[in-house]
Amino acid sequence: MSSTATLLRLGPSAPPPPAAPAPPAPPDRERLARQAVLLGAVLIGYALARGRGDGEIGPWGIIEVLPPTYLGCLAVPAVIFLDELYRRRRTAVLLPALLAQTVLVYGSVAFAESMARFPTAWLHAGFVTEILRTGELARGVDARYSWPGFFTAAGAFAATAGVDPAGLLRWAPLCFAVANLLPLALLFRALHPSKRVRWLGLWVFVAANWVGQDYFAPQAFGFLLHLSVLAVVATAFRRGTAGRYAPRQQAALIGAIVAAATAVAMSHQLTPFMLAATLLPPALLGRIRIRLLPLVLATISVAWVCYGAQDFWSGHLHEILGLGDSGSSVATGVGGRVVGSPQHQAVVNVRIGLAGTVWLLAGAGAAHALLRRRAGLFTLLIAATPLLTVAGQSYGGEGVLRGYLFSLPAAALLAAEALVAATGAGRRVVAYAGVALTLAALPLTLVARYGNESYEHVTPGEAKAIAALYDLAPPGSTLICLTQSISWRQNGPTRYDYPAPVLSESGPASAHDLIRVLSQNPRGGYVVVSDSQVAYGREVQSLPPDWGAGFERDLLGSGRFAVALGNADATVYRFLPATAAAVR
Amino acid sequence: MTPRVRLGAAAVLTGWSGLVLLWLAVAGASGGVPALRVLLIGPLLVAGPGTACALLLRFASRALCGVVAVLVSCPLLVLMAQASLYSGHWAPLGVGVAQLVLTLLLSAVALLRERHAAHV
Repeated sequence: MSSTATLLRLGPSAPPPPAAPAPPAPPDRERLARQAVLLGAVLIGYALARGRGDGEIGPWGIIEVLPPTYLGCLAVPAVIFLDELYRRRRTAVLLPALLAQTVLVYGSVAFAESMARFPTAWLHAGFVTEILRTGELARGVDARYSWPGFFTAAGAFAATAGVDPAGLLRWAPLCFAVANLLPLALLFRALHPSKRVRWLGLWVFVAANWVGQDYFAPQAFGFLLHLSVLAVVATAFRRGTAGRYAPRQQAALIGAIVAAATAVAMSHQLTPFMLAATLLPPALLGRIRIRLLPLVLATISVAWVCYGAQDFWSGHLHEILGLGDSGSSVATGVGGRVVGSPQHQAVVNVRIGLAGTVWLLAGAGAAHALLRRRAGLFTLLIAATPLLTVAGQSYGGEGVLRGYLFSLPAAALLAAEALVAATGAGRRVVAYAGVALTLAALPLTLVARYGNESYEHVTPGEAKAIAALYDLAPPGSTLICLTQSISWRQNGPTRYDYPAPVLSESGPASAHDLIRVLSQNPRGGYVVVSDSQVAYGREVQSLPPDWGAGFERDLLGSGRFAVALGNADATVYRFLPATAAAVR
Repeated sequence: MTPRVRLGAAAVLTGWSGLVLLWLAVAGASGGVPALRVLLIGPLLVAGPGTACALLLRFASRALCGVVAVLVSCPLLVLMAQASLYSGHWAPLGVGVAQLVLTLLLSAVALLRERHAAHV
């Protein structure tokens, strides 16, 4: 039989043998030139920004210290990306352009500042250090110890890689930003047929993600896994995908989803519930083939809260169930943030404007996609559900930010649909206007993302002062900061006593209040005053520019404090016992 | 993803994880330049076992392989670290080494399978 078939193939009616393979195509010089320009833009951007953020940063954030030429570098990937998108759409150009854009936006602070930014990231490094040192969870100290999955995994990572956890902080945001692009690309490929819309959706996501939840934190890790689960569900388990993957492949993917849900449930309070809630409407409406998946995800999350977070939920059940007042949530999240100095209010308004623009475009894109039947109900549901969950939570202002973040993937795709529809079909003027608008929006992205840099960055002087403080202060002594905007506790949150900051919503405490608190600890106490803390009071609570200096005068005037150490960026005051003060 | 690409990826992953384990055995947990260690060991910890799984499962799409790599590896690292902590035998280096050994074993199986398929 087989010989007959062979004879038939070789007979006179058989097709001619395949032609000799074509010689390899010459290298595409234009493509190589574009890639070289992109690499050059990143390298020049790095050289231009390096060290610029180590001094004082003004109220508009990182953009104040970056040279105008950096903004030129920022525009290069955008121009190449948009040009390529509307001409040849080669992945070999679009992908490097997108990566270069991501690096220049998300890496701008890592380029400009030689220390890792953001106080909460330093605290998270402290959690990891504490777990590495003790092998235990200090649950009574912080609620986040009830969701230690990310911290224990980061501990294993740091121990195996042989680095200090604080050493992971500086580049973590850029790593998360780049890592998020892969599941996003897979998700978009499953959800939209147009390559142009998909690539533009990725670019919109990069430009519009100002939320800043991508630092060294469980929520960044949870968001990456959230995107990955969504991408796999949309690719392999959406309605109409039956038979696309072999049963063993599908079983393995379901196992991976369950494992990821378990890891997220162990790592963060909100993300697992957001994941279950995002998949619930598509499951109820039959848009995904595993209808029980949201129930399984929710069960895993509740099970962890009952077991691992028992210490926390017994006192905060209302916060976890979060059946909050929608009006108050939105008011706290949006209205409550438009406070502080005029510049800070403007920065917050830029954020609100960016979010509103994305949602408006997404609404237009949704209408267009539905009319043209280009995007399914699945996309609309995963864009809208996170926003609806915000209304029913009592997570405070953070919840609104998270609602925006979790809706952004699908919203970015729908916004791209609107932009492509508006600029397509020979509308050259609209296209040029769109490109001009996009280039103008890039600096706004930097303002929205890093507009708090005046008090969220860490200067080398401040870091040195904190390190010297830890060398000086005996373990167990009381350490007091002016405001929450201080990057410390990286050696663990339990080695010292950290009472509430001096500055509360009602204003700064007096030196007398501090004396009362510090007198209770026989091991002594210290007060840290730094530029970033003073900037926080000035920008967020509208205190006068010299409020920090006034507070320091009060401290010294009380006769109970003396300068222990200091530099241009930070001063540490030692609390003097009553006897020593009397001698002075 | 073509069989040839899978074969190459499995070979690279097997060699990479094997060399890193050898390096850890020789130099210990703190030998070498920290940044270089993060670059060499970090990707294997956050994507190693998952990449090997994706190669074993022979997914056609590279993007899906990449997502599965993270979707399997990161949760595995969390679950092993949590098991280590909650069992009272906290050994972070052991967790990382287990992740690397798993990468080596799974990628070696994938390599043998792809080589066998190539010969057949």
